[in-house]
Amino acid sequence: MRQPLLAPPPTAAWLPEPDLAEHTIKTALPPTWPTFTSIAPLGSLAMITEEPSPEAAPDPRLHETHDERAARFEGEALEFIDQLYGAAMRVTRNPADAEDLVQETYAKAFANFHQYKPGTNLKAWLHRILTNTYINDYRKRQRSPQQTNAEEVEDWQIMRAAEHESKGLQSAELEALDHLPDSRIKDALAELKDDYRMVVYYSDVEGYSYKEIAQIMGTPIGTVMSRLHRGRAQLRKALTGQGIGPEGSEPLTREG
Amino acid sequence: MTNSWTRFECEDALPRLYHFIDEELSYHELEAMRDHLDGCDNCSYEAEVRVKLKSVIREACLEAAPTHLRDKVSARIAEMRASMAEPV
Repeated sequence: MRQPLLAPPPTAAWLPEPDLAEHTIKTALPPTWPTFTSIAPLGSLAMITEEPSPEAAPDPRLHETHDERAARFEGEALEFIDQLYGAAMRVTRNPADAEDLVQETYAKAFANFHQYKPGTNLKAWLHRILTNTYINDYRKRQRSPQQTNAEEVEDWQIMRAAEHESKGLQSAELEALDHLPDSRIKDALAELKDDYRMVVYYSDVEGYSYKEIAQIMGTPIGTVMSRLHRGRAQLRKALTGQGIGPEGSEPLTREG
Repeated sequence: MTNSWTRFECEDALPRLYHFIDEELSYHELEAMRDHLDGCDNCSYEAEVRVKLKSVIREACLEAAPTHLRDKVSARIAEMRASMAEPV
């Protein structure tokens, strides 16, 4: 049995201890339990505004020509086009608007590329521009109406539902999630409010930390956490019919 | 075995489950969470569902940008570049 004698150094507070993770996951949790590296790649932990390390190469912005800057932009920023398109598909909910939004984002990013600090998180910088562009230019003239607020869900409701469910229903919920077609998941996401949908996307798909999402969305970190919580609870209810209140005890309904 | 600083009951663990799966817990909270999940079927089931939800959302939402979009973006950058004055 482990009995730590000393507190670990504070700098390691956010890092899961690898051998601990291995031990606990294998003994206590099912084989589907994720490893820590599978959710958030380490690279994503770098903060958007973080200063590059002193050993970093000299700032290329100082002496480059326009051609060099354009080449550097194409070389570094276009690499993230799939991730920007994915975010744009989630916010706009249709391919034509998503393509427009990605083009606008890259145009703005190129025009402001001198403001981007080399060595900081370029993907997050681009996602921030995309989010701002969407809020300023697209949300106002969105084709489909803003979704209504679904009911909000508290932890105690989730807990109560979990306590009341039989083991059979519990495993049925996991199985239902396993067999959901992608289209059904995207539709459920599309039903969420914009702000909820985007925090879920940035956390679950892009693996950003709460602090990074707060910077991308321009909101306090507490807002990120509550939107994430509510968005996920609504998704779960939509996808499995489980997890909250009296409805949580009803049998699963499958489409088709 | 719990550590000597923190011990989680369900009411401590449940509000922190998302922080756990999103890797946002502090070291001590992480220890306490693992100890709690070890002995609590309800919370570890709840954690398992939320992890599964996170992973199915991720898998459903991975997109590849169409090739023509990449070309359009490149063309737009070239156009913007062409309209820039060289620095003096």
